[in-house]
Amino acid sequence: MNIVEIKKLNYSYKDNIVFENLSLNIKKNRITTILGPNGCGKSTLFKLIVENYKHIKINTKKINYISTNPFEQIVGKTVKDQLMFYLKQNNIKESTIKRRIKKIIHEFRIKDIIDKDPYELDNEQKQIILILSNLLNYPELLILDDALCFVSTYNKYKIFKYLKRQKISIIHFSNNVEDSIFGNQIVIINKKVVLNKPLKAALKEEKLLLDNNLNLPFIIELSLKLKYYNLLEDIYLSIDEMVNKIWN
Amino acid sequence: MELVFEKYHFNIKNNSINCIIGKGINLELLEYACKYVDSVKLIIHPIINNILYKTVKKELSYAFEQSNHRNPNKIIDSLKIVGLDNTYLNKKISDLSSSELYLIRLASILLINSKILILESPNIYLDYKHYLNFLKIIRTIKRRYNKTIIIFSNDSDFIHSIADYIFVINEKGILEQGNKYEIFTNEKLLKKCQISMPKIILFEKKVFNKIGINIGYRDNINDLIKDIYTYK
Repeated sequence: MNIVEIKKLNYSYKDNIVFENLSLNIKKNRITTILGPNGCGKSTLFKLIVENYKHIKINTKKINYISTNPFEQIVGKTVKDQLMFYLKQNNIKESTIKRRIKKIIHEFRIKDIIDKDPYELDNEQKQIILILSNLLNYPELLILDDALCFVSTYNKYKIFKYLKRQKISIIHFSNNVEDSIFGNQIVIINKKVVLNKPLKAALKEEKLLLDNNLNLPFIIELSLKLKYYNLLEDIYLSIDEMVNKIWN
Repeated sequence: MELVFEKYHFNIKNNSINCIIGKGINLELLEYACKYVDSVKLIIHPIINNILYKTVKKELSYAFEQSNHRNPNKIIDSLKIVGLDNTYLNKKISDLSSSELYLIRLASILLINSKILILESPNIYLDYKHYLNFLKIIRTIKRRYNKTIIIFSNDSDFIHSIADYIFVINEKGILEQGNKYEIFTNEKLLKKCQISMPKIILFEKKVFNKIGINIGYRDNINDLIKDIYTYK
């Protein structure tokens, strides 16, 4: 089943054609990473999905969006207020709110910042709090426009591990192919959809990635080179597996 | 030179690339403090948009007026250094993508010609092509224009590929400082500060922990492959 269906989307900005007959289905309950070169229209596509532009069909009403700028979206006076924001908007019972917040405080160990003004936090913490406050609303679809750009790999790993346990569809617009390793599906756009494949199959498309100004993740670059020298037979997504395979 | 901000005292070598990783410094306050220091110009990430004018030409002309340059060709030079051509002069700021906007700001900072550049998470909006170009720009302005560069970032892989020297900070002050090997092989320190190990070092560590072979620390994948070949 698809959570988002885009059919023959055409869009121009001034004299520039941004999208030409772009068609894309995004599957439900998966983490889909949308990549593309700078200026390929990632942010434009994000905006068009948010505005529910024509030719874009979204098969759920429970959607939350996070844009790249944490300053625009933080509304709470304290971190706790921020975490409760969407829950209160939707008139969720007080006891349910308390329970959900307690759980997330424990899970992400944010007890010591809970009473702080979100504006005192650094950009990484701001982005983490924004993600958590959106997740507490239990959306069926969460769309991120580079909304983890300040977050370290260490914390991204924690967040995605948590996301994978939830029943939720994620669309993650990003510049960094390393981010896609946390997900299941890769889409590359550049005026139209250039690639739409499951993670491992997509990462084998070395030339296509490089042609679209995208990096190969460290582990993929290493895999491909080791494969070239006959030191490995396939690409690996985890360092542990790879080390075991080389020195089996 | 010494850069002092609140309880943080950074001893920074001139003409080097320094990275600061960890939590504790409020960059808005730091920017405010730097406004009054002539040799420093803080360039914050483009999400805090402090572009003043509507066109690239006006923005860069303003930076030119602030500088000690005489020759207006410097404006086009600054665009060239950041990898943009002179057609950008006629563009409107509102038509630029976030990465282009960042490069324009970098160009205007270079025009102002301050001795020290402070950058926050400069790599995050750049795709791979622009990222590689950015690494080149930073190394060039260090070497050719004798600048001292200070970068705030949480991205260990990026820091590993560019830093001459690293400071690890927390709310209390500077916790540790050293070159990239000293910092990024210190597992205890990284864990304490929730800093991820650069992937290439992580690989080498895992080989040592699992197989007991010390293949050493390499800067790039090609050197690493030679080591794997030798020790397999």
